[in-house]
Amino acid sequence: MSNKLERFTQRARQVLAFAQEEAERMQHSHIGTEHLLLGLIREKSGVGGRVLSELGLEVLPVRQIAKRRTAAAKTSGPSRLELSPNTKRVLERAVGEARRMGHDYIGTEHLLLGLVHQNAGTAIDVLKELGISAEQIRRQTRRVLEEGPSQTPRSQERAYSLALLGFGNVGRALASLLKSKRDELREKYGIEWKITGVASRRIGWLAKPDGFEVDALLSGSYQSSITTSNIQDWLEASRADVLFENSSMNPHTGQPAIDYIRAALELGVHTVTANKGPVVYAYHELRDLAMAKGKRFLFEATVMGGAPIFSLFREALPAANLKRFRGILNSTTNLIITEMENGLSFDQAVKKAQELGIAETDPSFDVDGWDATVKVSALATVLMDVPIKPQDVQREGIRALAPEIVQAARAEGRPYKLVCQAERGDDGQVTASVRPAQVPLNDPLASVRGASSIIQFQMDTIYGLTLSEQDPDALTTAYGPLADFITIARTEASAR
Amino acid sequence: MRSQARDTVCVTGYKGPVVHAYRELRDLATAKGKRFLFEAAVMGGAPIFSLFREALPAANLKRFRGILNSTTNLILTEMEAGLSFEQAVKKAQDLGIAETDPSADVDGWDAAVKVSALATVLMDAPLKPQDVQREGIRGLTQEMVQAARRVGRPFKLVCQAARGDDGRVAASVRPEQVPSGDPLAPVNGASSIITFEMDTIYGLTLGEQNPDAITTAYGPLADFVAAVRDSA
Repeated sequence: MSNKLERFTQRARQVLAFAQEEAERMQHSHIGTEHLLLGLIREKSGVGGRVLSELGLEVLPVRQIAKRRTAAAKTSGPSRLELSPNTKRVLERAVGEARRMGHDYIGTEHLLLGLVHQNAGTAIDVLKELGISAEQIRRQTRRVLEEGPSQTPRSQERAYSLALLGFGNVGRALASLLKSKRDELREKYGIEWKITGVASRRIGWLAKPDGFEVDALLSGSYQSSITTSNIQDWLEASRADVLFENSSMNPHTGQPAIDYIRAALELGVHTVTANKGPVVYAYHELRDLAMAKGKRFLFEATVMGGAPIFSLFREALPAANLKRFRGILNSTTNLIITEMENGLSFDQAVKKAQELGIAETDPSFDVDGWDATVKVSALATVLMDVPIKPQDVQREGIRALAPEIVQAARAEGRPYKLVCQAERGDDGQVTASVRPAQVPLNDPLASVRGASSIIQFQMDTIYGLTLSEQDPDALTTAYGPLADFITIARTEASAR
Repeated sequence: MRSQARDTVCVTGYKGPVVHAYRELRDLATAKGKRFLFEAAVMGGAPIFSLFREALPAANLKRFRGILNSTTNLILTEMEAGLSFEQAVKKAQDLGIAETDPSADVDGWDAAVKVSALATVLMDAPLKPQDVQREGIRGLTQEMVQAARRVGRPFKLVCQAARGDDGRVAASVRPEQVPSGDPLAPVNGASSIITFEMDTIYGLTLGEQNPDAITTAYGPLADFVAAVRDSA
């Protein structure tokens, strides 16, 4: 078997992996032809997936029928899953199909042809029940193969199906930014897209495979859409290629965002998040999972939404090792300090930040420095490759700073800032802290006022590189996920 | 640029080729399936060009503003600290930052060339240095510079370019007094800074502090890694 697998394409192997998942999901002891069929439907980019998609086959109904037809099947014990005799014959037949066609590889088209060559088996029964004949599949496969394998740009082939989880400020700003950039994305990047899934605690899990009307979505009308009950079914009903995960989460655990992202990557869906939690609490796991699935896990908006820190390091600073960073990463506290310098009391300043939509109703997460420690942890985890948790960061909030104190500090030319920093010591250990400190006027941090942020990097190759953003708004925050989406499309284009 | 004809990857630290032949060299490189990269040409330690190429897709630059010439910024800082113009030039020369003939820096030509390179590549507006309104720092005396710093509005040689409503890009290099809250104000000595205003992000600032020989060598190194990574 392993010998034969060497000639299987990446996509064909992915089909087998999906088939195995389907069998496990149904708790079957064997990987049957029905699981293979589901695997072929799920691997959407291969010839097999294209054929089945053009014939209108969807994961959910197929899974339901397959489940019903195999209700009596033996459930698996603790032992290893095996291939059913029919599945073995399909794989042998796939190898034969490839040989017959003169191909030196075994792809999803050969698997599909092998599958319909059998005249018996659960997959054939499922297809029959859905009114699709073996001959129809053979004909469609020939047609797709004659068209050539994705020589046409993706824009003409299929639009990206996007699923938006969380439809608050960021989700809505992203939808309208996508809409305003529609022509530019098509013309400059060859990207077509449609929003096929929207979900939030309030509206539930809604899917519309042919795409929601963006304006209608923004005005709160969700049209006639499919309602599902969990993330897996929702992603499948949406036929999602990319998940934008902007749900509300528990900042101390990163949940449920981590579970959502894990589920999406398991299903082979690229994932973009604006949530810091998954980066802080599960970065290495999610990164490795994405890599194993050949998908991307990106999170540009998590720290300084308006400054592309992560892609800067990933793409523009190869071979530079970060030794230290230092900055102002929490807008709320910086705004509060600025307003106290201008004469407001602490409570008035908090109220102003809340009115501007920057501070939460309960401001303690910002004020006590937790948000800043989460950001420091995310940066250290990704950029310095040390999995620091917020609890590992020495933390002091700004509650001790009274207006008189910050005004006096500003008057003597050494204003207070909530300074975040992390540094790798000679022993290789990274220590990090968040605490109020007075900075001299010639320090770039001194001139960062209001809701603006700044970060300075010290590397082995570049001594001091500073990045700052001025007064970001929701549009700025939506730009990070958009940039991540373009990165995904570029990755796919260069992999073709 | 002969290296492209031999199908090798070309990496340059000079601004000239970027300003005078960017489109030609870029198209030639694309046709040959090779890359033409120039990260060190402007702000050697801050990867401006790769930032836009890789990290800021679908962001349209409307305006930029910054301090791009280290020599003049160092001269202004030294004059504020009490040196005469000539003494400050001499100090910049001793530090290896200014040329024996400092006029390319002092008269604003170096800054104008950098503005042209940025406008050409990032705004797709092929400006030549002669198209940039240019005024150097020779008109600034030690007294003027010190007085301006005392009132909290120091002089800086400000470089900028902006796309007008008619789509045309207008650019200038000239000494200006900047207010104390301006990110340009605390940039002293041989440091540089640039602020970008885009349609998607209003204010993104990139600064580099006191680049030394190591950082200027880094630009070409990063380009080399980018070229090799893409062809792998």
